Amino acid sequence: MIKHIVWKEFHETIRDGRFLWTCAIVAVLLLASLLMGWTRYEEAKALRDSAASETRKQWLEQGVKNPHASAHYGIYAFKPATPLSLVDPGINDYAGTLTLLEAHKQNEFKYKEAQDATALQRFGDLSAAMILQLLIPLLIILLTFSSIAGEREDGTLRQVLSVGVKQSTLVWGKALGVALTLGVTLLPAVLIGAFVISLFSSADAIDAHAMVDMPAKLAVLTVAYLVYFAIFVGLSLIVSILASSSRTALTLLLGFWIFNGLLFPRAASDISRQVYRTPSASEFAKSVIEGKLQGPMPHNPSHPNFIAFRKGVLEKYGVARIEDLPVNFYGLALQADEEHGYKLYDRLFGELWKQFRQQDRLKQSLGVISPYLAIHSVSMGLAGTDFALHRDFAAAAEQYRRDLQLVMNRDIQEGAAGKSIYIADWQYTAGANLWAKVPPFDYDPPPFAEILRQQSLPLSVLFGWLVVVVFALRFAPRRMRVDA
Amino acid sequence: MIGSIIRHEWRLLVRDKLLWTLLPVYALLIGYGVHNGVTWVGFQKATVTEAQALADSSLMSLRNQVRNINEGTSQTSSYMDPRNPGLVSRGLGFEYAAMSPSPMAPLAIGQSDLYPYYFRITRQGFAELASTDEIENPSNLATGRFDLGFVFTFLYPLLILALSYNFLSSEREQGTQSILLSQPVSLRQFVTGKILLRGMVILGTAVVLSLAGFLLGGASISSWDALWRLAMWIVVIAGYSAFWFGLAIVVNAFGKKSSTNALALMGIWLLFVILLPSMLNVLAKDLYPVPSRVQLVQALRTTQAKINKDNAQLVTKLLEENSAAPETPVDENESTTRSLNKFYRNILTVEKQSEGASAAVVAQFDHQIAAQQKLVRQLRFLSPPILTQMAMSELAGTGAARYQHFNDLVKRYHQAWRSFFDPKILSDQKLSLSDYDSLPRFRYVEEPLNVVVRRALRELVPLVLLGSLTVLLGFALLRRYPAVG
Repeated sequence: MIKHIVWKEFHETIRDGRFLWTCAIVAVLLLASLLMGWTRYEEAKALRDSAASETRKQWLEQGVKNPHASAHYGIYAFKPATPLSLVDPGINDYAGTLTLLEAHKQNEFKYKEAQDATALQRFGDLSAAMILQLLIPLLIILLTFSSIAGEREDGTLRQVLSVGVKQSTLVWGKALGVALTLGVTLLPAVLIGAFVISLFSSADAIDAHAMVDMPAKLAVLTVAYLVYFAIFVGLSLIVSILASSSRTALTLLLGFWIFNGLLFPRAASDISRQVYRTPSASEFAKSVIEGKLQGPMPHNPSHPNFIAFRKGVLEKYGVARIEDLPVNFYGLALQADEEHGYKLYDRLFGELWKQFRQQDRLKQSLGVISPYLAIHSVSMGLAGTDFALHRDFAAAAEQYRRDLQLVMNRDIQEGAAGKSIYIADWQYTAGANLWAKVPPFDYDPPPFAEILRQQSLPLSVLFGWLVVVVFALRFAPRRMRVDA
Repeated sequence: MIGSIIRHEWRLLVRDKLLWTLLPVYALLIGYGVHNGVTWVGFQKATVTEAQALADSSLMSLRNQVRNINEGTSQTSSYMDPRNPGLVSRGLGFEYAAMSPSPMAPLAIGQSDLYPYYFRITRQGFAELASTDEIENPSNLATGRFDLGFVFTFLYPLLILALSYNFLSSEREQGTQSILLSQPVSLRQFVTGKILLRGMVILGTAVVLSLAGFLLGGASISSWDALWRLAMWIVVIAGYSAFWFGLAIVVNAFGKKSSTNALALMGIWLLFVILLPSMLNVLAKDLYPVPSRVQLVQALRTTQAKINKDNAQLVTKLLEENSAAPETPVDENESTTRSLNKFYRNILTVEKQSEGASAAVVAQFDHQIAAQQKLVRQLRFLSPPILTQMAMSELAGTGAARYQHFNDLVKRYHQAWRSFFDPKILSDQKLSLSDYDSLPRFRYVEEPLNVVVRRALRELVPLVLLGSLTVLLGFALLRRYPAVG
């Protein structure tokens, strides 16, 4: 019985010129967005790979100079592009693209791509994510708003029920009919897109690191979007059943769509910003300066901190002059300053990133009001274009910077042992042997289990919505009015 | 005649539940939007004040240290000497060049959350300075702000469409159309009256509500500048409203059912407000890609590396001279200071060379970006929401152009900072109290009003034109309106 209903619904939709055109346009848009997203990913990856190898080459070919000077010269870290960014570009345009790893400072990421774009950028990207998160629900609403209410107004609902069809069978039949239409719209677009991409992508574009968890990520992403669509199918059916007319149903559903996809995400952003405040950049800079003043101050021999540090070191090694130390004092002072800085930056950046994480979690939990917020978070998380990955990369780059500083400072300590601060600062040099001791920067994205754990809240919100909708769909048919 | 139509429509509209449901919702949304704008502007003002205070106190403390050293009451070490022009210009001292938000800024947050509004100025190259972005969660930046600009660009058209999607079709469906048209009233007069009434109500409420919120937020419209901007703001909203009313007339002119009209107008809203701008954005990135900063950074590093290699003899000379000195100099402080000063003198020459070479790279990069942005901006004529958004940002002083103006002022000040310190570095001069007193400080100078007005007109005029054309198109299509049947 249900097969007949599904088939009838599907045929009716296909035969309706408006729906046919709408579905076709959506499918074409989806395909186009996937292909354009892939092109952008390949370009971004090629750029970053060449920049990374170039910056490594520049590091190795620095020539002969003081290790601390080379630490100041530093090395650039470029935020990697992730393959699934073709589906969801996420925050890529709004988070910095590169950072300088240099001595004494943990730098912020610079150059947001949105800053070089025009005001058009703020209207968003027509990415696959936008189509799946905004347009498909609208399509679902258009396909489903009159499924029960329209039949009631046409008078055919009484006829169908009088044939012996149970209300629940009718409702589930309609739901599956819409699902079939959606599948026929989306599946070819996705498959053709995947085929074209695999055919034309160059070998370099596939990074072994990034492809490790790809099947699992794709699977979870697909399931999440299917749940999101199912929520909308169920919701539209419930409204269609309970509304007094199809016009009311459409108005309510469109209102919810606008609230869900346009209004509430912005309001949620604002709420998260008000609840979890972050400092201004100048406040942050001030905290850094004040914190640094508490350190050993290796460049200020008359500062009390320096004098105390010097005294401590001399006592520890049991000598009277710094030239009698087994290691160079300047190297010790630089490393002590760095380590003091590490604690400071860990505290300041830790607090900042914690606020961001709380903001994101608040938005995820507000997904109970608007499922868009939940799927938005899951989609970005699996595509590797959310702040969690940015933070992970920033932490990895910072760790690399710290290891680099240690290698440089150790070299000064050992290489200039027994020499004065002046000589260690102005005369001691090192060459390519030392630079080569620092390995190239290699970044591994977080494992799939970690991403899943981070997205556990929005995933449960999505499943919660599905459970509620399915539950309501079980009981709504009982209140189905048969006559208009 | 039109007057009596308007009066009649007013009576009908006032009794319609829809108006009284929608207006409070809009008042709420507009209020929330203004509140967000006011909060953000408050934050910016506080930050600017704090940054300037930071620079003031730092320079004052350095000046006091110089006074104490001159009086002999305190000592200093090489790397912390406030009299060393090289040290002071390169980070020991600094200035915060900041731009306060314009008085109309609460009206549209625009691009003000994306571009830096203060820079920490030291002697280093401008490329190194350009990183004082305000701290903001990138996903919040990506989502965008709920400001008045958002409410007007995205949601206001829905109010217009909700109240006018059936202004002709409802008459036909109620059966009153033939009675009305049999009166000595032309369809045109009829439509004019209906639309005028709706326009006055909606536009009037929008202007009053946003003004109210604006004034309650603590802004003042006492200056000539603010009045002009406000007047143009109202014209922008009027032009945008004309566009949507025109579309309502066009759709109603086809004589279909009310429900068909509603769906058609919804589809048009979706196309113009959501689909078209995002499609144009993706197309723009494909057709007119902006060169990547990654490439720029690498090109600059390569140029710098070459210059450093060419100037290696300067560095080696420094080493040779130092190795000639005794292993443990008598006064480390003196040697360090001498080496430091020599380093700064040499580095100045190297940096000048390097920047000369980089200038070409940076200029080409900037030129490419500007060219691509110009082409992308041409696409804005295809979508009135884009025009509206850009016009509103321009009038609120949160558009990209004002930040470009700020950038230019900062670059000029940066030159002044260098011109103040460089001669002193090269001649090994020590900074005195009078030097600190004559140190140039940054003053933000607002663009003259006519420049802003001219820029805003670039969006305002096409918007008003498009709006009027749509209305005219609607009236033209009314000729084919099926008055009977």
